[in-house]
Amino acid sequence: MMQDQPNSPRHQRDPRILLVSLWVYQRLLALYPATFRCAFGQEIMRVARQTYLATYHSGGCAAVVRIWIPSLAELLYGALAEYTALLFPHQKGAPLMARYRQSASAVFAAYIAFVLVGMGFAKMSEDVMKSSLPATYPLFTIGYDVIAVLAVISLLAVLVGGLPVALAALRYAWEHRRRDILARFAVPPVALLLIFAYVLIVTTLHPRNSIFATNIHLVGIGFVVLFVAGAIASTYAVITALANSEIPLPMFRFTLLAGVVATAAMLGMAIAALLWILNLWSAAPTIFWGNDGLLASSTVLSAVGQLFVMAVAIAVAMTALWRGFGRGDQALAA
Amino acid sequence: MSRGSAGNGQASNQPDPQAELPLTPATFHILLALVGNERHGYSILREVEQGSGGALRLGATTLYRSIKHMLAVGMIAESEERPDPELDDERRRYYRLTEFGRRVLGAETKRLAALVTLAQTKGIDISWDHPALALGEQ
Repeated sequence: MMQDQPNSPRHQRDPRILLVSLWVYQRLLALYPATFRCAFGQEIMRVARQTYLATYHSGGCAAVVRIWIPSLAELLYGALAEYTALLFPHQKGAPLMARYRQSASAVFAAYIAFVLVGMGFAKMSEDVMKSSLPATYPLFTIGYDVIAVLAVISLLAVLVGGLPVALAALRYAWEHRRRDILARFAVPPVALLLIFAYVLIVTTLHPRNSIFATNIHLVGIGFVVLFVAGAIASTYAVITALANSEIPLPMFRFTLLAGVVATAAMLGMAIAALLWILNLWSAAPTIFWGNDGLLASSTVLSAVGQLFVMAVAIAVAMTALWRGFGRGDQALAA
Repeated sequence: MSRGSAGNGQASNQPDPQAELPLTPATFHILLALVGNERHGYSILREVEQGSGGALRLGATTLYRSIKHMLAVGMIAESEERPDPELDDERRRYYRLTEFGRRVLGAETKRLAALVTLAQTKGIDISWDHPALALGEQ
């Protein structure tokens, strides 16, 4: 955002003492976080100019010099306070909006982590589901179907709760010409395009190129790395886009309510996955103790790793909701 | 901006005003300055100074840090109306008190009044000369 330039035509009529004061003020204002400067920098410079000008008219140069120290000290203290609020958002006095936003962001990040692990679980279990085992042991089918239904429910909850917030952030970015926010929202589609491009290259070249044919594991690892990196980058970009946008408070409360549904569905999926894995241990111990995990790794290690990440994601989401609705703070205060 | 979130009289959707208490002197005076009037930053600054009898002089960054917080929690909202460009700088942003902000202001005033009453019951003399009190006597 453009700020008042001390050497603009309007300022050229100002006394030299004002130009110097505003030049220093503007340089020190650069110490503030970019989000704060973008939102209020122009206004602050306008108010500072009017303040210095009024002081100059009432008391001359000496009066302007006298307010240098308090106003510069205020600038520096304010910058420190703004960064402190950024680093320790849950400290006493942090805005309710920040708490809602961080809780919703944490639930979203936990959901994305859960989805990534869930996709790994689906990949690991697909061979079993295609075999004759589900016909003999119906618990496989029941567990798999429960996971599928809950996956749809959690996805709908995230969409219903998240889309209004994302649209509000996009609207804010559009209205306030915040290209940085729009650029952040562009990260997920760009990441998706990169993944599609990778898949396209691999599937096009694979049959004819010996590099791909002989390093199928590397191709698979490359896909997983790209996919996970894309998901992390997209999640981070969306969360920071929301953090830089002004979104109505009731909208975030609704998002948190949707987060409760998504978290409950995640918990149900984790329990169903645990039962499915225990069923595999009981019904097909050779597979369970074999190397049918992700990328032909140990099935047990894959399963334990997936359940562990699921548990962590659920714990993060539940803690975020606990704090988001204020009970965490109340418990700490008590 | 919390546009439309707090200013539409949706009191049932708003958190408890008590959660925002106690207000900082800056926040309290800014809210007072906005009672009955939409104001831009410098106007708020002048009103706060006059309202406090010169006892409270806010700097520009303190003012906008307070405004940022009050916008975030919905105590104030940016006015969507702009003044006539011939009368005022159209780039200026104007702020207005929301219904939630009014409730917070009322709750803080009540809290301060209770403190004054408590002090008086303990025999504290409040008849001393203070610029803000002197202003009220004029």
